[in-house]
Amino acid sequence: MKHAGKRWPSRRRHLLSAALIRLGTSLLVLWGAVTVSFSALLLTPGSVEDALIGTSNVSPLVRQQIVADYGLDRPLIAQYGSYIGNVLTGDLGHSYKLHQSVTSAVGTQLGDSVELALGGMALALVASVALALFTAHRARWLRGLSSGVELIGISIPTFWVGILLLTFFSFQLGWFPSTADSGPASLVLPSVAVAVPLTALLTQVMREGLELALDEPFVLTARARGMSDFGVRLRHALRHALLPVATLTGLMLGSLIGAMVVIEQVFNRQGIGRLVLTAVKEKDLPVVMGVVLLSALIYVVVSTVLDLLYRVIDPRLRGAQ
Amino acid sequence: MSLATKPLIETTGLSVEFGGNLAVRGLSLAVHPGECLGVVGESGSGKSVTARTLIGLAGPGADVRADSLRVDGKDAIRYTDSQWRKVRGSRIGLVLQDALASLDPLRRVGQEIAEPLRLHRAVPRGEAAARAVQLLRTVGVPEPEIRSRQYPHELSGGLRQRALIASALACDPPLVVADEPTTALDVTVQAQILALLARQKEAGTALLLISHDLGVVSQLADRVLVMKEGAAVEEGPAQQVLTAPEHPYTRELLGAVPSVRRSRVTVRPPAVPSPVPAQTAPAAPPPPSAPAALIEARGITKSFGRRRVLDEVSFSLYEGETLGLVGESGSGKTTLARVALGLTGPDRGDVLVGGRSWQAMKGHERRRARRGIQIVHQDPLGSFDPRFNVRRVLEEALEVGGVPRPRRRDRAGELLEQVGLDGALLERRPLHLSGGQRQRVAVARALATGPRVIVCDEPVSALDVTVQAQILDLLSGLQAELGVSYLFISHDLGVVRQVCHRVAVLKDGVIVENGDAEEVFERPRHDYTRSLLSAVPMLPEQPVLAGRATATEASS
Amino acid sequence: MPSATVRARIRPGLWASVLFIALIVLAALFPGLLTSGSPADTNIVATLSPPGGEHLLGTDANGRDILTRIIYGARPSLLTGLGATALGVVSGTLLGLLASLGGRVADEIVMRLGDMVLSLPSLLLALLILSVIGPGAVGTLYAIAIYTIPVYARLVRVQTMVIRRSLYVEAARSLGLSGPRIVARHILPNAFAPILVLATIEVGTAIVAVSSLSFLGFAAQPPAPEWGAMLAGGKDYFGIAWWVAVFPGLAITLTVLSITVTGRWLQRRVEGRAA
Repeated sequence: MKHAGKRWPSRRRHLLSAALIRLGTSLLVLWGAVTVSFSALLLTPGSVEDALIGTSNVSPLVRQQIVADYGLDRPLIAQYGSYIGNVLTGDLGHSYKLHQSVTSAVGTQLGDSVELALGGMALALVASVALALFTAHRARWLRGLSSGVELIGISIPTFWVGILLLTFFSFQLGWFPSTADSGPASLVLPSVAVAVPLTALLTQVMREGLELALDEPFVLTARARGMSDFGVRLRHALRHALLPVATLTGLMLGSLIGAMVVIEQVFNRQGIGRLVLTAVKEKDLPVVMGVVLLSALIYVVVSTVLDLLYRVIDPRLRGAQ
Repeated sequence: MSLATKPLIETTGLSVEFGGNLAVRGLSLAVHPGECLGVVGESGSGKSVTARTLIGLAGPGADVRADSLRVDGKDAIRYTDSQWRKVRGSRIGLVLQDALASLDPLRRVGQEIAEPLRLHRAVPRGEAAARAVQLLRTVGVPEPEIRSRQYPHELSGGLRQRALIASALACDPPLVVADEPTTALDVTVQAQILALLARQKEAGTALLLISHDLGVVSQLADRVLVMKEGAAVEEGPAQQVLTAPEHPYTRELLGAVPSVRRSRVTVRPPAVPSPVPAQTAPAAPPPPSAPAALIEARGITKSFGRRRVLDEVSFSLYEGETLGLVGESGSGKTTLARVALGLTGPDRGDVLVGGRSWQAMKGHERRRARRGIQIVHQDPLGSFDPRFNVRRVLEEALEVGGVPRPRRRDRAGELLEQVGLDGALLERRPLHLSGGQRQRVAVARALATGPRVIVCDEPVSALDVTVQAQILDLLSGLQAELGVSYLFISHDLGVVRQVCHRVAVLKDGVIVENGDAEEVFERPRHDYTRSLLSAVPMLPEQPVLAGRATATEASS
Repeated sequence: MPSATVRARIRPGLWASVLFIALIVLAALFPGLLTSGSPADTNIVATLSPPGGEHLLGTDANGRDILTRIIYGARPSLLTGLGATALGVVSGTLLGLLASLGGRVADEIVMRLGDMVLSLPSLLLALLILSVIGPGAVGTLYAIAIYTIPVYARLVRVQTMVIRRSLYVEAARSLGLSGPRIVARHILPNAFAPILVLATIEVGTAIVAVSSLSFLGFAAQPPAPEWGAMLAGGKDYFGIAWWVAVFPGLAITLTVLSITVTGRWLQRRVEGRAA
């Protein structure tokens, strides 16, 4: 068998090349988002400065200024280049509707959305892990019930969940406030609404992963050593079930962000969702583009983190043999 | 070993039912301290279910009943899981097949071995890791400190299995249940693991050894229990059961075991020239009157990336003969099969079929030539389009063979008969056939285009030994009837001995020995061949045998 | 090992789903057969009347019968959802085939483009597209189709690659079949089954997306009887008239549920056939 001494350099090499590839793909994704935004700018009917101004009223002088600032009289490639340059320096443009820079507009709304997102995610993770652990490989009726509940969770429109929660728990029963700024209690219903589709997705994937793992011989070996059924689930099978979750970044984030846009609307909460919704309606394109870029950045960060986590959890992926 | 002492585990009248399906019925067995009980059976015999039931892990939906079930003298039939947990690992250890799947791939080897120590609090907390290293050393793993920190996939097959055994022995249980502990291993590694188990037995551990491989069982067992369809059909001292069995099923089982000592092959095909040893180059080209080889491979060299899989491999296959290609895993045999079929090109060298090289042929010529040389795979189910039923599978082959459409259905039926299957199976899907039936369909498909050569790539490795014997009979019969030649690839020396006229031994991509089957098996020249042969677990000599003539008797 | 009992098992859920889908399709094609009223009929006297009697599901703030509106609302949801899925499947499949059969360069380009689209949350992407094309049913259709294309392209590509390497394709080669024959007879049929199954399930997802976008005010707008728009229009009255909140959403959920159940059953059947 090979000597241990040789292993270090090759492992380092593998990690380095993996990290480089990751960096490359991340940059590509970000670049893609920038390009998509830029194309949106170009594809909007009318001239680009019209698109930037949207439905606001500006004087011809300001209009000329915009053309000069954005270099709209220059060739396309130069415009693209300067746009990218701006993005890299953190200048995401200016919203004429809101009379502030996109960066500050987004920044002020970010906090509330992050609050909601974290609340929803935490709830979803706890619920899905618990559900998966308890229902995997159990009596058929239990699994059927859980499957059924998940099926409903996937089929139900998120905004309707919010509406139902609002209607029954807030308006009819009065257990929770219906306005957004009444302290932590007002975070409960929206978080639950955001968590529902995410939980449905995660539980399904984790349960399948758990059941596959529980069928494997190493589970029998562990039980033959004297481990209890629950012990095996927790200490052995759960890790295996978490693996496929890491590959679902896109879906999970998509579900989360989409849910937030809708839920902020239903519950009248401040946040990025409302911001972008209003921006689309009022044709405030710089803001929309800014939010798109932000979400691409989030995707890149989260998927990199998950990818690293994946490697930590599954040593088979670490490359060195 | 004293049989007067109380058995570690005993059961009478054990039955295990899964929703109406009786997996084990009326089974009685006992294992005494220090002895090895070998349980033998084919698939569906219930041996694995028995093993799991004896540690209370029969599985979900299992209805376990017995007249008595005693572990360590205590009545265990109504044990709760928490009572069983005290027994598992500390009084009874379990070793399963294939450590790659039987050890948690996400945990380090040392952690897996230390787990029973932790569960049973056998050693103080801080010492578990050190004890794991010690256990690795005991089972013969070199550099145990390093290995302990590695993951299962980083160890070789043999070392992994040793680690698995170490985890079963961690709390020093008086009884170890081993369910097919060597089935996934190469024969040389298997011999090492069996030696390890033998040493453990010497040290006083009792062993319940479960296997489909009679040879393996014969190496260690003091007593043998034969199971068939959930019930015990014979039990007794190993020597007696394996040499003078009473039950007809045991006799059938023993008769079906492919032995390296004797062959089914009786007549040497006339076309094969006298054997030439691999080391000496032929002094002159073969005389013009000698027929050309059907397949001639010359200097085949193939690499995948940096790994050299085949290195200057040459062989010839003549009409009416069976050439065996023997090798362990990683020897390159499957790649060689694909090169011989022209599915992939060698980096150097070439393969001549009927005198013409695959590489020299154009696309449509190659496709034509393929009719003459077909293949039977190890996994027949995987080789059929999942949407096809048997009829479509055969008709597709017949279509390639140039049979006109209206005639195809009838021909398909004829092919099935030729391989010993009923025509009614035409409309069935391979998924609903047994392993033996599927393999017969694969053979029928191979025959459809009227080939002169059939490449058999581990055709019987996945089959029960009795079914194996049937398929080997089928293949021999077809050869006698149709004069077809076989390139027979296998890791199983016993099987190769059964059907091959000539044998080539492949190691790490090189043919190390080449010659008449009898020569290679009885007077091996190369060290590797010798070590392979000595590693094969052999059954004791049988004074009375159920009707197989030996090659020496027939040809003298 | 599949057994005959699997086939014989009565599946009430499946039957109910298929029946419901038939009902919805009927509502989409011939709404007049199921209800005599018109979705635009206002009735000032009977605004916000609870379910029961003449108005089985109650009326909304304008006195319009909710049941009638739900029935008429089937068409826009179904049409847009089906249209978007169909567009996505066809385009995605073509791109996926291009990626898997067209060589390394084509493969890289298609996959990177797909990655870019997939990295953006679907709703945001749809909003971006809608802000360019403009709101409405057509824009919604394109928006939804665009973000599903990479999903199908990936699936087709993976399927084709896996199948090309499978043992039965190699067996077909050793048999002597020509390349195009193998593609047509073995690769394509086996690759498409899972895609059609996914598409079936995704119709449900598309319908949810359409109704979400309507709710947000982009696809259909009030007074159109689209389910999402109904919920948007009734937003102010949820506290006092729960039926305005419940029934349109129930229609969406049950439709999507039925489609998903049917799709999953199809999936099990297709997978059961594959070895």
